[in-house]
Amino acid sequence: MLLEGKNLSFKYKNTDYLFENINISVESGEIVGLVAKSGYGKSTLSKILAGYETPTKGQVLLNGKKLPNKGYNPVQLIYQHPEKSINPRMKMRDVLLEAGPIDYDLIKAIGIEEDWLTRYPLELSGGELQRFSVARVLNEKTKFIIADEISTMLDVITQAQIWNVIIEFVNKRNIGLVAVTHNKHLAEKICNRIFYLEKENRG
Amino acid sequence: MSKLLEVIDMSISFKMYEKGFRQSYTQVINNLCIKVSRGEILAIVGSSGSGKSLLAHGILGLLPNNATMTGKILYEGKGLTEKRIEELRGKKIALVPQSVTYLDPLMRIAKQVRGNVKNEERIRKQKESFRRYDLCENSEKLFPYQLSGGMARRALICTAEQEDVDLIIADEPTPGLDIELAMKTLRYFRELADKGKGVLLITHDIDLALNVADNIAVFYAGTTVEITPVSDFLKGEEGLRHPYTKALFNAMPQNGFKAVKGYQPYYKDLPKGCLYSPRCTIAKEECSKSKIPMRQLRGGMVRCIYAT
Amino acid sequence: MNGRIKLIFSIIATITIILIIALVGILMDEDVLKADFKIKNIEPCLEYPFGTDWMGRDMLARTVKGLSISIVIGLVASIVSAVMAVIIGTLAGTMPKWVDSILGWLIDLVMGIPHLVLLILISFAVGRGIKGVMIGIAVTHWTSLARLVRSEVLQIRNEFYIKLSKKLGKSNIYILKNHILPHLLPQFIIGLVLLFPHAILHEAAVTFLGFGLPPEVPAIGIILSESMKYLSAGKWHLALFPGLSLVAIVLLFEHIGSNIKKVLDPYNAQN
Repeated sequence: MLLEGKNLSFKYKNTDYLFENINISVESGEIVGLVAKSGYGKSTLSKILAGYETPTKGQVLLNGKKLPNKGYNPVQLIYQHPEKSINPRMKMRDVLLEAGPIDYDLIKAIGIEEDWLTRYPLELSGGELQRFSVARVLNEKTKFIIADEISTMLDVITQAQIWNVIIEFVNKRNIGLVAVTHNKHLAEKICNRIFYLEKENRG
Repeated sequence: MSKLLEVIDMSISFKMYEKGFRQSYTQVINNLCIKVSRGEILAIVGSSGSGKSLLAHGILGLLPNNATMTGKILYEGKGLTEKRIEELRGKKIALVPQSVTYLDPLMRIAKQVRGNVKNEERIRKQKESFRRYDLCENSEKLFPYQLSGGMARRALICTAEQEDVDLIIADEPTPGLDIELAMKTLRYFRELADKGKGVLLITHDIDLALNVADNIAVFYAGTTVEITPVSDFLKGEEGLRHPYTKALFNAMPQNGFKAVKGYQPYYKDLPKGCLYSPRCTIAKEECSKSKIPMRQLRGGMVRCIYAT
Repeated sequence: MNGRIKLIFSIIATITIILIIALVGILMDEDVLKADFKIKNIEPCLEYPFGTDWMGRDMLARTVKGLSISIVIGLVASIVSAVMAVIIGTLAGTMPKWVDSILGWLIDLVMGIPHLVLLILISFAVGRGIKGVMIGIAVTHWTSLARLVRSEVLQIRNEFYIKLSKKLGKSNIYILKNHILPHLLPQFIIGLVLLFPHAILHEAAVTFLGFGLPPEVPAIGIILSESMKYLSAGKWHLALFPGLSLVAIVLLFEHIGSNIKKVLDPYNAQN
């Protein structure tokens, strides 16, 4: 499978373009690092690739077709702030169930204790919550993962643990992954190639 | 180097409601000890939820009402009482807070940075620090909500620079800044330290801490498990003392990327003895019996019986 | 005993008092309310704590009956009103933009006309009596809660976890049921309770002005307006005690409302 962003440009109303004419593509089984300075629109580009935002110009194609508007999106975004991607009023078990049946081996591998499932998000730390938002999208329906700075706020042990599970899953299921990060060492460690979002792309 | 700040055996506990109506006291920071000298940057690294920010708020006397703090805080050798911190806060001890919500949403940032006084000297100083942090003239008139995350953080750092402070407590000053700017910020802290000020840098980013700090205090589950010179950290496993610090080192992407099992204990059910013992590979029975004190070891400090 | 137990206890105690008044009023023997000219114009005493009126009716019994009628009207009217508010607010927040515009206009319209005027018009139009007052109060009191609900819905709809839920393949109905409505529940409960005093006071006011309940019903508004004629004759107790009772009931509801708010407010939860 192939996920492509073609000639992507984005601007908010009444502002300059955040970026213009970005071309980016990821194939199944490939891990692409996306590196950029802050304020260059990494998060916006991630959201566009996962269908959360519509680009001002250009389009995102999955195998030549537009992303589906309904049903499970094969391109899933994992966000930097886990506390924003989880409803604070929902128990953790229900959070996981939203994406489908719970894979107990997987949640164990990613470091989720079973008694956390009965807790509410406020009773868990950021690192613990991020394991849930990662585990939620690691299922057979996901074909591409966009990971937007998912380990920036985590300690290095949690970072290593989460990434090791993601990489194993991605390799096993032949999933395409875009890892947005500013950590050079991390990008070098996990990525097949690195895409730099730079000033030249801003028109 | 003269000692500027010393925290001895600090514990902070909160009065909280559990499910329903039971009220309980939970200790979030346990027997913490650190010291900062003039000319030193002490980086406090630890994962989120390990109580790092609370330490800063504890020192500055900014804890919420339902918190109680025990232990001693010495500033320039004298006890830091509630009255004394009120005098020093903002004048001699400055905080660079973690979140942008610490800015007044209804005040233009230039005014906010220089404080509510108008004199040439202050305006000059404020313009100078704005230039240093790439905040353009136009941004002086903006309100906090109009700033990007990175700009707001730079504005926060500017505020801390305005007074002639001796101790800077920076609580996660870099997230939201890209590497270059983050390094620039930290280098500025370095300059301040070289001029004889003390800096307490609270961060979760070891890479950055290693770049500028003199000493690193490693935080785990609300206490310090090791205080080590940066040079020892760079040596890796041989240089380091505590098993947790070694695990941190080994988990970094550039060294192995290996994760130890388990998770930081929840503050409601902390282990009785060594807080790291459930995850530790060299733990023996003794480790879970009673609290482990901090001890001197090879020019650093460690909270482990078996560390060599 | 800690703060939260005290709060819950106080809420339960207040609700109990109100329920008892309502029940006593509903189950009251009609005979107690009958005129008995042998005992007319008695000042407050042990046997008749609120005194009797010019027709020898026991004022305490009339007041309790009146309060209980007010409570029932208030209950029905504010439930209807709160449910309307949640439905309209949710619709405005989830439907296409033009629906929101129409509903926003409607909210402004209803809010723009003074409550009492609109209430009098409506209760007059649907034929006065208990039914008229109830409908009148119900359709005039939903606006501010609806506006609150709408803005809450608009805000929560932009939360990342809601958009994410959609990308996980969840339907709008699922999201409404599992994410949005649970979020609105505390607002709904507080709004409902705080509508009560409004409803009761407006019921009394409309009735006092003669557009509400018929004069044969011992409603507080009727009692007060009748007593006006006797005030100048020195019959102070006819107005004072029923009036104070009305104020007391209103304060009790306020008390419940603000305590529930404290219990549900996460920022207050740890004090």
